Amino acid sequence: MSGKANAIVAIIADDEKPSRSHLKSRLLSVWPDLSICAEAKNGIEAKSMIETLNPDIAFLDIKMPGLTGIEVARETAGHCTIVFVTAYDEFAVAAFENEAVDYILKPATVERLEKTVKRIKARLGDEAAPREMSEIFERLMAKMAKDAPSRYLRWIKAQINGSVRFVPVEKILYFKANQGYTSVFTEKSEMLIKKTIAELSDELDPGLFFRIHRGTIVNAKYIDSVSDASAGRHLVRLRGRSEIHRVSRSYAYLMKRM
Amino acid sequence: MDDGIIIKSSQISKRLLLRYYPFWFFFVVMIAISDMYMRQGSIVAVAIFILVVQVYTFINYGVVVLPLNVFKPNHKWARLFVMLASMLGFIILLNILEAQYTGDAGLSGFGANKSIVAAIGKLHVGIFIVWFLYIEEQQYVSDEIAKQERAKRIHNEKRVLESHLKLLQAQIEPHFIFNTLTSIESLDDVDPQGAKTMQMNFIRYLEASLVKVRAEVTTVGQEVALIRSYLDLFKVRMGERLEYEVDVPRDVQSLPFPSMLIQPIVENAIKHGLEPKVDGGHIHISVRLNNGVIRWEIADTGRGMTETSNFGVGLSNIMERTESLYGDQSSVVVEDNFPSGVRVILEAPHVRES
Repeated sequence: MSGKANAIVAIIADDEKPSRSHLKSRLLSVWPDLSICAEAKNGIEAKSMIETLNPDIAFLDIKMPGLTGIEVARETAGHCTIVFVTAYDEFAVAAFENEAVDYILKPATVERLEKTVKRIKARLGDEAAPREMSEIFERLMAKMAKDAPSRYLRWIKAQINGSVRFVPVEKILYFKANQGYTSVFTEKSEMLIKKTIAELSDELDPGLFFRIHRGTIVNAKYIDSVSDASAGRHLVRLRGRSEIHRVSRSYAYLMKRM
Repeated sequence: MDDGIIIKSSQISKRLLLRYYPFWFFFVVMIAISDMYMRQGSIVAVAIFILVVQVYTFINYGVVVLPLNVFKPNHKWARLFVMLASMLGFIILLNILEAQYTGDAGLSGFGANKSIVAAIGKLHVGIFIVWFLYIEEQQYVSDEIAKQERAKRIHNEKRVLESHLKLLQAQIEPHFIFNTLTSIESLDDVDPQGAKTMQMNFIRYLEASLVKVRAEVTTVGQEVALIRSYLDLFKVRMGERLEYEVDVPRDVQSLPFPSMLIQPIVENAIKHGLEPKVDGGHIHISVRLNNGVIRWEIADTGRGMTETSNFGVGLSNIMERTESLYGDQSSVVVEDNFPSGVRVILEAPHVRES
C-alpha cells in the first residue's frame, strides 16, 4: 500500500506526552503507512482537530482533561473512526466489551497492537451510521458514569474563621434546624450552614443519616441508644453526648430498621 | 459505667417468650396444682392463680425491669433492689386475693400449720419470679455486652487491617506502575537521559514506600523525599502542567513523623485537582515546627472540590489515622484555596522519642 496518495491519516489525543510518543512510535512500527498528522493534549484540542483536520482515525485516550475521550467521540460522531486508548482499568475494559468500538490497552504491546490494527484496517470505511455510533458512545458514557462522584453529600461546606472549610460527613454527629439555617455538630465543634434540614435530608445518604424529626438528622453510626419504653415514643442518644433527641412518630419506622 | 449498650425491648420479650417461657409456665402450673392439693381448692382457683402470676410477671417486667434496662443498663444493685421489691409486692398481692376469694377459710386441710404452709408456698413463687427475671436479664445483658464488644473488636481489627492494606494498595497501584513504566519506555526513544532519571525516581519511590509501609514512624525529611520522587514522576508525565515546590527548613527534616501520612494528600491534589484541569497547576508544600506542633500545608491550584466530590476517600482515611495516632492533639483541615484549588492543613504534635 505504500506510496498511495490517499494514505490513512490519524490523530492521537492523550494528555501525557510520553504516552503520546509511545503510542505513536508503536503504531508506526506496526503500521508504517499510517500518517499521524497531529497530537492533541486534551479533549478540547482533540475535538477541534477532528473537526478541522478531518482525519480517518482518532486515537483517543479516555481520561483527558477538558473532555473525556468518550465525550469527544460522542460530539464528533460520524467524522472518523474512533479507537479508544485506556490504561489498565478493569471497569473501562468491561464497558467496551459488547460494543462495536475498538480500543487499545495501555501500555500497548506490539502483538496486541497488531491485532487491533488488523481489525481497524478491515473495518475502515464500513463504519456504522453516525447516529448509531453516537448511541454507542452515549451508552459508554452511561456505563462510565458509575465511576462519577456519588450523588450524596460527602462533605459539608462551612464558613469558619473567614475560610471555606470542608468537613467530611462521617465526622458529623447530627444536624439541627436553627431558625432557617442548620447547626452542624461534630465531636469538637459546632457550625452554622445555610442549607435547611429538608435540603440536607434529600442530599445526604439515607443509609447513613436518619432524619428522626422534622428538625433533626442524626448520623446512624453515632447512635448510642434508642429507647422505646414509653408507649411508642422513641428517644435517641448519641455516643459521647448528653443530649436526648426525640423521634417523631412519622419517622419512628427508622428505628425499627436498626 | 455506661458504655453504650443498646438494648431493645422487642428483643428481650422475644427471648423471654421463646427461651424461658415454657419452663416458667410449667413450674407455675406445678406449684398451683400442689397448692390446690394442700388447700383442697378448685380448678377455678388454680386457673386464677396461674393467670395472676403470668399477668403480674409481664406487667412487672414491662413497667419496671425494661425501663431500668434501657436507661441504666449496668446498675446491678438497682436491679436487685427492684426485683426484691417486686417479690414483696407479689406476696402482698396474693394475700389480698386469697382473703377476697376464700374469706380466710381456704386452708382447712392443714389445721394449725396452714398459715406456715401457705407462707412457704407464696415465698416459693415469689423467689422463683425474682430468680427467673434476674437470670434472664443477667444473661441477656452479659450476652449483649459480649456481642457488642466482639463486634467492636472485630471492627477495630478490620479497620487496622484495612488501613494497612490501603497503604499498600496506594503504593503499588497497578495503574500507577503501568503508567510510569510506559513513560520510561517511551522516553527511552526520545530522551534516554530523562528515561534514566525517571527510572531512578521510580526506584527511589518504590524503595521509600516499601520501607515506609513496614516502618510505622520515619522522619519528616523521608516523607518529603518520598513526595518529591512521586511528584518528579508525575512531572515527566504531565510536563509543564505540573509545577511544585517544597519548603522544609533543615531543622524540621529530622523530626520523627508517621509514614505515608502526607503522600496521599499530595496524590489527591494531583488526581482530583491538577490532572483533570486543562492547564494543570501548582502544588505548594510547606512544613513548620511551632510550639511543639508540626504543621504541614499542602495547597494546590487545581480544579477544587465540591460537596459531592470523591476527593475525600484518601483524606478521610488520613483523618482517621491521625485521630487514632494523636486523638484530640491533631487536626486535619480541608479548605478552599485562593483563587482556586484545595488547601489541606495537617497539624500533629511533635512526639519526642524516649
